[in-house]
Amino acid sequence: MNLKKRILIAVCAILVITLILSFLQLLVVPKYRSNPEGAMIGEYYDQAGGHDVIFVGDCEVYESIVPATLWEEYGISSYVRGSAQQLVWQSYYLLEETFRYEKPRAVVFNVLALKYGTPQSEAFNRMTLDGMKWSTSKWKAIQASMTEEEHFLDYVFPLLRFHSRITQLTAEDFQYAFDAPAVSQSGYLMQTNIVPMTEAEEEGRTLSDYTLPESAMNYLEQMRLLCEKNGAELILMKAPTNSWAYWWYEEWEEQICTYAEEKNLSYYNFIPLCEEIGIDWNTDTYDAGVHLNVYGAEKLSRYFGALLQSAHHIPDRRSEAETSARWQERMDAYRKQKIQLEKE
Amino acid sequence: MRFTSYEFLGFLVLLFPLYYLVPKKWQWGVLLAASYLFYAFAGWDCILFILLTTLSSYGVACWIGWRASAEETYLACHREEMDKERRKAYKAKEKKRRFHILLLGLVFNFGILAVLKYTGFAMSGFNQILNVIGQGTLEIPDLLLPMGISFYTFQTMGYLIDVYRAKTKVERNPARLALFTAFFPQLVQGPISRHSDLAEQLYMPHSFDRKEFIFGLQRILWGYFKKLVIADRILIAMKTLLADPEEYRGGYVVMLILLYSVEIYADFTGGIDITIGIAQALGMKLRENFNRPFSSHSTKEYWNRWHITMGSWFTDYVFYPLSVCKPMMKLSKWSRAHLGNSLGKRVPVYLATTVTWFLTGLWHGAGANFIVWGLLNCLVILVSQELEPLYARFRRRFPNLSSSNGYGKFMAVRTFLLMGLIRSLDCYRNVGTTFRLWGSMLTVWNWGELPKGMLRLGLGVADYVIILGGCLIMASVSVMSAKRGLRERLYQHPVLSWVLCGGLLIAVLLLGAYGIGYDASQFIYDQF
Amino acid sequence: MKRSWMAVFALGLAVILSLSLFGCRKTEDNEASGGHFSVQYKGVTLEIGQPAEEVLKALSDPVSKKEIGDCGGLGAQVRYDYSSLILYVLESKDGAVIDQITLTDDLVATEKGICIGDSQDKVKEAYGNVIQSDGSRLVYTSGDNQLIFEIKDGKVSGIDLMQITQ
Repeated sequence: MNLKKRILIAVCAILVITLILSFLQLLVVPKYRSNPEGAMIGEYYDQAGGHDVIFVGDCEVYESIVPATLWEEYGISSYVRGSAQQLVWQSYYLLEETFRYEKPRAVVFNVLALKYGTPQSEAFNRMTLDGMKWSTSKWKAIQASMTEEEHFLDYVFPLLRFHSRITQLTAEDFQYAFDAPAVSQSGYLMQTNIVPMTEAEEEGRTLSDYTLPESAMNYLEQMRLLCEKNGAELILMKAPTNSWAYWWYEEWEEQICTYAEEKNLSYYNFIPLCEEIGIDWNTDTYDAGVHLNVYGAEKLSRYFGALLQSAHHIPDRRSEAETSARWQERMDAYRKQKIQLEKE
Repeated sequence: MRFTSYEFLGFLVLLFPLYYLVPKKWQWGVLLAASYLFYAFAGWDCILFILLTTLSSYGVACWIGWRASAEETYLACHREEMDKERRKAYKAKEKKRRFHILLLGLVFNFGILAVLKYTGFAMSGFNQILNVIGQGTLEIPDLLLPMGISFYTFQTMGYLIDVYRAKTKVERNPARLALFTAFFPQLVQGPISRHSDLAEQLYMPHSFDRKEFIFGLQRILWGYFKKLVIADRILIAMKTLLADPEEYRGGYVVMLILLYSVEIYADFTGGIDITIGIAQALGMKLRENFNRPFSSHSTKEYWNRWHITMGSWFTDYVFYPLSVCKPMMKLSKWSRAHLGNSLGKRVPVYLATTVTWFLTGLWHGAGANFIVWGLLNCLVILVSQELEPLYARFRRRFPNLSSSNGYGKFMAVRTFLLMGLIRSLDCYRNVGTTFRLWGSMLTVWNWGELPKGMLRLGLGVADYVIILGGCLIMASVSVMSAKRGLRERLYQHPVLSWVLCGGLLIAVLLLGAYGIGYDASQFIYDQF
Repeated sequence: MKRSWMAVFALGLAVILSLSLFGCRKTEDNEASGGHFSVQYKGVTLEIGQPAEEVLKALSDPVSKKEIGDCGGLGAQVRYDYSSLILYVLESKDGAVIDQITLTDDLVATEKGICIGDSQDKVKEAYGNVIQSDGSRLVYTSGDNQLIFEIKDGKVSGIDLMQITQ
């Protein structure tokens, strides 16, 4: 057989093999239907643009802030770019990426993630990073986040990481291989269950060191400078919680207050304001006080929205036709999901 | 740098084009640099030891070579003055001198190996004695064990012995000897090459041969399939079985023997396939190290088919010299005189065999289990030899049966199980535990719980299906390759070749037990 | 005779070179002044990183148990309150391990016999020079484990064993 024919066969074969591997990759990557926290980051791109407030942070932020409520009550257009155990450098790089799509007036960061100064968990990394579109921000986020067991190539070719799922595929993997419906409402992950908190916690676990890691605080500072550069106001928040596992220590509170004061930033710790906000830990939590459910989150969003409008001058855009139309769709989806979940 | 790491694949992707793009006279230099770079990943302190072996061997070989040429020159110059007797005496004296030089090199390098690999074992034994006499214990130093030290030491000492025997020429270029010693594909698990086979291939220029390159890549891919899809998958279950051996007795011991046999075969031959494939892609041919060992009909045949280069090393450099050395000749004479001819002639052979297998066991690991492993293999071989007349009588009595296919298969299965049983000493690492668990195969009857139990070892039904499928593929390829070169046949059918290789690549990427979520493992033999 | 001397010399040289030339692994400077930390409770030895299943079986039912799942459903933190100590257990797909031990009264002591109420001098005598001290606590490290003594008025007011948090 002549060389030209061999080369042609080789090229065709490589193409076919690549197609097969690409399809297999789509099959084996987790679809995050049963644990939807991993699907949220990737949902941003369909709604990117036109937001005045971007929220970044960990589970406390995507379980506490309801963009639908902020719109409905105050006409505030916002998005929650949160994910499970989102680390501060991941928040930074997500923000860096977000600024390429839009220029919000304010960025709100939930400060709990500042307790982590080093990479923590490969699984949580994947939930945050896999959804990002490829960019220099994603590249840098991966480099900053990888644990020792991880390898960069596993992010470039997720098949290398998730191939073990080939023996655990479900109908969902086939159904959602190419496309999947959104699990969140503008980044808010709705929870309608009620699991009351049985008793208020008095204190958290003892820590060996109460100083927030320097690396984390450095990224916070970089976030502040990034916001400054892009004309956005950085606002710090601490979502309400009452859990010994996610305790917010006095020592940490002091450090954040000092930082906020030094840098002239607004900082809202909602833990002592639960009563004022109207949060009832008997009805407003789905996991006994660790996170708010939709009822608690709506209350907090209502309270925070007033602050955002009055103190931070976030505009009411309900009179803008295009924005309104866009948000009408989202409100419909939000209400529909709420009814559906409440029925279940 | 592990063979199964991304870094190693990247290393190959860079090495292959570089090797063929540089001027041909630089190719061996590229290989030398690549080999040392590969070794550097194991640690810069390890490089010092391999350099030590290289330089000492270089010095010793040159010295032997210098003495040999000095002898030739002297004899040539004094031919008329010296009668036959004087020449004979002179030659004997020079040979003895060269032997002393050789001994220096062997003792030095085997000394390093012995110290680094066996100090812990020796001191543990010593501590046990001290314990018994109530004298406390000595602290066992934690010594570095350079990667592949057993392999490169044996390969280089083989070179020294061959120089002494004038079977290979002295390598005058230390850099070339460094390449022979550190040639990276075979550092991890062999094969143990002879200088006369490998050296010229290493140093000669190689033009790019598309067919050989493709064959090399196919062999590498095949090696990864065996290692990642089969061996590393079985390892998951093996780790559970070995984490608490006393919990997995009876039928589990049988399953361990079967699984480990497949695992070590797939792991070791997979690694060798990668090694030979890399060499082939670079235009070189390394010796085969396996030849369908599970089709062996006897233990002796098995060891002619399994880890062939190790077996032949011990035969050529330990067994034969030991068999014909002066003390053994004396012993042979004495035993014939005192024990009769029949028994007498066995003594030196059996003694040499025992010593060889003792050392083979010791080479595999610093532990009593490895020594017992070696001696058990020896025992089986010697007993088989003693029973040979009985086997011959059986063959004469039942010629049809003994030459039938079924009987051949019976012998292969018997040898497979026997080797597997002895090999379990390698798994349990403790002689007492191993013997106890062997006993439990007869005393603990838990076969009923095995189907469910095997699914609690970290592997699911799908995993066992993959292992079984992999074994069938390995067996088929083995049978097809034995009849005619499989790759040669595939080369004539490029579409089929691509389909099979593409399928193999997809199988490795999709079904390989690598990455997070699997316990990554080294090749079993790379601890040697 | 000459041959044997040469062999001995060569072997000796090999030994010396092997042992001196980076033969010994570099062990990390390990400030294990405290050694391996543990506590004994109801006849059970408790250590950080220990698999929790057997320990929990051996201990009687806790006074209370609180479980909090991780975001993403990847694991859980469980707190077991016993009469004299609190056990924090980290649960993941790889199993459950003891993550932290907090002593709550003087009925339980560390492996060197220190319990709540002992003087800080007794702590220093038992565990040696303290690695880290900020006035209100004495912190000892062994590997990635820490033993923390909270000090109030010169006496131990709290004892915690934990992994070094990052």
